[in-house]
Amino acid sequence: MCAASLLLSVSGHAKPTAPKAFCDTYPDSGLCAGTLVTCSLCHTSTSPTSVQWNAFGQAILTRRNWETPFEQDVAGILYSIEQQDTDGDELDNISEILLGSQPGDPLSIPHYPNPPHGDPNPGYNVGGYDVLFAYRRVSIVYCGQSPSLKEMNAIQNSTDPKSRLHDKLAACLQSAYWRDVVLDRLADPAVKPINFGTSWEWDYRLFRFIMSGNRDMRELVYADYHVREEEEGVLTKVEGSIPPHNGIPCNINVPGTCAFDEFCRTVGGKQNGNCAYTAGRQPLAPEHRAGMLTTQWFHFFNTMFSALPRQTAAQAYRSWLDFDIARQEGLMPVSNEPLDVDGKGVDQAECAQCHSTLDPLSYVFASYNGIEAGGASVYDPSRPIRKGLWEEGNAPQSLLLGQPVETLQDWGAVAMASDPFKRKLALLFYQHAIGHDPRPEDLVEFTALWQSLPNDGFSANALNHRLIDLNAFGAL
Amino acid sequence: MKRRTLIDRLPWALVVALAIATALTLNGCTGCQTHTPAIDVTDTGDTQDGADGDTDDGDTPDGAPDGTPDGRPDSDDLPPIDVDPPNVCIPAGEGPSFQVSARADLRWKRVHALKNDLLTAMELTEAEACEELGLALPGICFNIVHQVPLGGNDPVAAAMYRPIMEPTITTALAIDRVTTAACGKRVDEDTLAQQAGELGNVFHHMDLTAEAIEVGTPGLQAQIDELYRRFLARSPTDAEMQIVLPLAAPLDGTPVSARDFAKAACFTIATTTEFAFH
Repeated sequence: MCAASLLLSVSGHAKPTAPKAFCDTYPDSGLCAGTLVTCSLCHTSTSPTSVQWNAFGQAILTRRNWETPFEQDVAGILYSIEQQDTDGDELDNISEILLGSQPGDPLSIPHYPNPPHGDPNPGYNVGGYDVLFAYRRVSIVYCGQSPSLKEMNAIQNSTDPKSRLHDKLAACLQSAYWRDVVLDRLADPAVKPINFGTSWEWDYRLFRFIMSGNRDMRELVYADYHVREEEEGVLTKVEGSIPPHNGIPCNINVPGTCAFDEFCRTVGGKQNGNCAYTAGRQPLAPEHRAGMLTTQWFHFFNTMFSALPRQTAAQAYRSWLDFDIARQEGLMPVSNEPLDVDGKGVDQAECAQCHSTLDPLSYVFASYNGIEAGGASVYDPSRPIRKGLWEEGNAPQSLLLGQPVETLQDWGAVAMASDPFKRKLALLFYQHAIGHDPRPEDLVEFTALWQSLPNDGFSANALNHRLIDLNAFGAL
Repeated sequence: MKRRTLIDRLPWALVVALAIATALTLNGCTGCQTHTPAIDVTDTGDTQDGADGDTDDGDTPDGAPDGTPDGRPDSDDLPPIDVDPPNVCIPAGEGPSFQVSARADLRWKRVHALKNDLLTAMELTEAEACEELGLALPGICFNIVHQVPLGGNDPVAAAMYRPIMEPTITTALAIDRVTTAACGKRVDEDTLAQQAGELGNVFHHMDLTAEAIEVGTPGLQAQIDELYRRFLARSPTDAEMQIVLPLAAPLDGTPVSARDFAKAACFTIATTTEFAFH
C-alpha cells in the first residue's frame, strides 16, 4: 500500500532535466562520457502519469525535498546514496556510476574476464591480445572475407605481425568491399533511402567520400561540396553550384540532359545506357550547405510537408550526435520551450518533456523547403513566415546542446565540436567491428578511442587503426 | 522400416563437431589448434577485389595431411581439469586443461563474408551456388532470399536500415541451406569432372564415382584436410579428423557412397562455429 501510494504520489515528478543534472553532477561517469544518461536511469516510460521507477530512482524520490527545485536538490541526493547498492548487484552506486553501469539495474554490471588458468593454450594468446586472431577478424570485418591459409602462414612467420595486421587493415580500407558495401550500410540509418528515385545517392556518395581516404569526418555536418561517381569506385568532389540541367528537362534516355549521369549503383541499374533513375540535383548554393544536413534527399524525406521540420532535426540529432529523442536520449530542455509555433499542442505536459529540447533544435531547419513548390532543399529565409511559424524579425532562438545557433552551418559547427559527435563517429565503427555497443568493462578504452579523434584529424581510417588495437577487438 | 541415410547421421556428427568447435572457438577461435605452419595449397582466400594483396601462386596440396606439424601435443587428448566454468559457454568441469578465453565474445560472420568464404572455398560463383529456387532465379540466396537471417539488410527495397543484431533461429536454417547448396553443387561439378577424366576443383583427393567407401578408403583424410584448409585456413586436429572420418562408415550395414560422404564432410566443416563466427 505504501509503495503504491508512493508511486502514485510521485508519478508526476519525472524530470526531463534530470539526465543533464545527473551528468553535471558526475561529469566523469562512464554513463556520461560523450553522451547523456537517459530517463531509464531512474524510470521507464515518458508519460508523467505512468512512470515506472527502478530502485535507484525510488531511492532518489524518497529523499526529495519537495520544497526545493529538483535541479538544486538532486546533487545532494545523489551524493547521499553513493555508498548504497540500490539494485543489489553487489556493486555500490558510486562504483557503478563511475564505471558506467546502471545503478538501478542489477543486470547492468561490468564483467571483467577472469585470469586464464590451466596449461598454456597451444594455439592462442589467451588472456592477452592475439595478433593472429585479430588478423582473421580484420580480414572478415574490413575485407569481407576470411584470410587464406597462405596469409595466415605469412603473418605467423612474420617478424612484425602487428605491422602486418595494420597493413592488412590499410589494404581493406581501400577495397571496394569497404568503400561500396560497408560504408553504404553504415550510412543507411542516416540516409534512410526508399525506392523513390535515387536522389539519396548524393548522400551515400558524400558519406563514402568523407569516411574514406583519411578525410576529416567533421565534414559530414559541414561540407559545402558534393561528390559524384561517374566511374565505379571513383569518387570526385564537386565544388560550387550544381546547375539544374541548363534548363533542359532531364530525360534519362538522352545523355547529357541530366545534371549528372552517375554510375548506376543501386536501383534499376542502366537502361539505354543511362541510369534508370536520375539521381536528382542539389539546388543549394554552397554557402547554405552543411554536409549531410543539407542534401536534397534529407529535406525531402524528413521534412516532407511539415512547416516546422521537427523530424528533420530529430533525424540529424539521432544520426550525428547519437541522441534519439524518441528514446528519451539527449534531453536538454530549454526554459519556456516548446513555444508550439505551429499550434500542434506540443506544449502539453506529455509532449513538452521532449519538445522542450526538440523544438529549439528545429527552428533553423525551417528555412529549407520540404516537399513543396520550388523543390525540396531550396533555401528560403521567408519560408517560416510564409508557413505562419513566426513573424518576420521574431524568429525564436534555435539551440543545440545549449548553444545558440542561427544557421544550419552553425548547427553543424556546434555538433562537430561536441563530444557526442566524436563519440558517435567512434561508435559507428565500433559497432561494426566489435558487434555490439561498448560494455561497461570496455568503456575506458572506448572513451580513449573517441577522444583520440582530434589528434588524428578526425580520420576514419586512423580511428579504425586504433580500434583494431583495442582489447575488445583482439584480446581473448 | 525406413532406411537410414547418411543425412540421418549428420545431426549426431554435427552435434559433436559443433560442440567441440564451439568449445574450441569460444575459447580462442580455434582453441586447441595451432596456427598451422605453411603447407602449400591452393589459396582459397583471395579476396574478390584484390584487397588482400595476395597474388596466389595456385599451388596444390600434395597428399595426406602431416599430422601435428609443430610437434606440440594434440591438446584434444588432454583431460579436462577446470573446476570453475572458464566462460559462460562451457559448463563447470567440462573445459579443457589449457587456458581458455573468459571473454567468449565471438562475432557473427555476416552475409557478405559468409558468401565470399563459401564461394571461395568451393570455387563457385553466386549463380552456381544459389539454385535452390530453380534455374530461372539463380544467384539470389544471399542478397534476397536469405539476406536478413544471414545478417544483411536491404535499405531500399525493404526500408530496413539496420541488420538484425544477433543471429536468430532462422539464421541456422539459412546457413544450413546455403552451405548444403554450395557443397552439393561443388560435389556435383567435381563428379562430372571426374567422369570426364578431369580433376575436380575441390574434391580431387577421392574418387567421387565410388558407390561404396569406408573409413580407410585412400584419399579421405587428404580430402578432409583440404576442406579444413579451405574453410578454416588450417589443418584438422586428430580429434577433428576422427569426427569427420566416420561419416564414411557403413550405415546400418549399407555402404556410403563417395558423393554422400563428400557432401556430408563438407557440410559438417562448413557449419562449425569456427566457420560461422569469428
